[in-house]
Amino acid sequence: MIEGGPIQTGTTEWLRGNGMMSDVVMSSRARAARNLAGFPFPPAASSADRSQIMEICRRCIESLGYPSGSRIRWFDLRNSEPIERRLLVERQLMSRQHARGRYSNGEGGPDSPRGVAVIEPDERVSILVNEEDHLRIQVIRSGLDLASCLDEINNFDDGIEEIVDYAFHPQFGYLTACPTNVGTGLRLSVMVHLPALKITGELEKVRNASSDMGLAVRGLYGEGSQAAGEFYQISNQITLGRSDEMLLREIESEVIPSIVRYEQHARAQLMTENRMLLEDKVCRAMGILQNARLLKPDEALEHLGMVRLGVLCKVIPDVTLATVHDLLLMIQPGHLQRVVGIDLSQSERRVARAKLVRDRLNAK
Amino acid sequence: MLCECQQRQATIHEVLIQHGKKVERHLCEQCAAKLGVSTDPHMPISQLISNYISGKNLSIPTVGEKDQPRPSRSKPGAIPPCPSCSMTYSKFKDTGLLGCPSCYSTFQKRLSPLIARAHEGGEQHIGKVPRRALESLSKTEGGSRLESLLGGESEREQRLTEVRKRLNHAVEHEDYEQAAMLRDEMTRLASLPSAQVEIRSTTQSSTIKESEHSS
Repeated sequence: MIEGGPIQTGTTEWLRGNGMMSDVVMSSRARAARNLAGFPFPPAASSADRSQIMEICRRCIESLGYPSGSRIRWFDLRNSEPIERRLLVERQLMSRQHARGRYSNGEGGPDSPRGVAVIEPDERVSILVNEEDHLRIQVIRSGLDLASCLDEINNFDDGIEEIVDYAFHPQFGYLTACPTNVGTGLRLSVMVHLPALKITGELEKVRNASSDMGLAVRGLYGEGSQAAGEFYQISNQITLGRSDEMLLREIESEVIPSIVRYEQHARAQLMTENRMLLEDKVCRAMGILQNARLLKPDEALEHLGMVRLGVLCKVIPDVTLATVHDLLLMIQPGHLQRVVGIDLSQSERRVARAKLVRDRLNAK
Repeated sequence: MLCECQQRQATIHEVLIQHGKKVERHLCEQCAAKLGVSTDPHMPISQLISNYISGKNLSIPTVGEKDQPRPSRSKPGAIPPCPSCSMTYSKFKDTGLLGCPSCYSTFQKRLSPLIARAHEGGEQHIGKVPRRALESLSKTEGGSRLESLLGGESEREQRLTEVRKRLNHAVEHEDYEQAAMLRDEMTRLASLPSAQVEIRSTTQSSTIKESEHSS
């Protein structure tokens, strides 16, 4: 296990752009919440308890077997630079809450004992220690592939359970700090890009249908975030009374393929019956990105979403999907700062962001 | 049913618990908006549960009338705190977070209906079980629950009945997509082998004992 060190800034798993249905599905993610028996949950634990829990979990993660060619990097977030935490969040390797270290009950803070283990170089697996639960094992895959995510989670879960006792209750299943996560402790989530349904005004139907199925629809950065660029995360809310297989089947085989077909149909319809509207939306977005002198992250994201649609519908022939995906990452504050290499103020970042996007999209 | 304004059809059915008494209101969308009653039936569960447990707003918008919330009978201070971590039930109500695994047993009576509500009626864990928990459960009174944890006969029957009910409902409402899904679910449940969980061989590796914890 490598302690700390530089975080990669190149592309990451959720932006790799391959896998099943990757024209609509950006990535799949599974997350299991686990707690050690006999310890208070992190939000209620003392700082000394959290330190002890962190040490146990860290040793446990260290002892797991990893595929050859991969390495595990451990970030002790107490001692980490703010930019480092930001990069980890932007690469979707941990939550914003974990970066802040403050729990929803007001306890904790930037110095609260917590960490994250990341398996490099592909960054598919990250294990968060002392987030709201002692352990949150997360696996991301490009495209629609929740089944592989779940398999991999189970491998790590089984490995950890060989070493520690998990908190478990015969009725409530895996016990978690918040009762909304008990049962399987499993959150399956799929990030989809639905710009055509936005244009055709049919997005509400997807939202309502998902809610009816007990699924949550959130923005790109999870809870409470806006859905700029028409990127949405669809995830299960119910974790008790349904097995992980049932959940998996419902989301991966039923819900997401229907949404994907719906979006593909809307794209095809736009291309054949309303091409001018499609071209107008895409070219306006492209025009702004190629000419803007100041860009906020959300604005850049919104237009990049439309350009992504343009690339897939062959309205913009000379930009690649890889360029768009790369920009989706690079426009974010941490990555931008790391690439530009100096400490920038917010207004300076807007200038640098606009220049970066212009340069990349105007390069032939 | 007509709205309180007696002009339009009531589409928002609100059930409030005020001072321990159930108060029902039936409103049209216009009146609901005027009175500030949420018309969003798709409130995220986390919000719903935090509203529910905090008791700040026990109004649950229901679509149709099948959804009857359980009246809250909480008497603050009446429940002793968790013996392991001294978390109190009222503190849990404030934050929505429990203190430690023992809290689930300490507050089990109160938590059960709450948790079932948050998980759309799910009351019993189904699926993966940690191997060691399985071993210790089989030695204790929890053993009687093992069958259901393993997806045994009674649990499966219960689920089949539930799915059958949902299927009838879907067919009645001409929701054929949902009906097809439920039909598949029924087929799957009917053909499932009894044990969903594989009990692995017990090769022990180093153990970090929980007794190391001293606080």
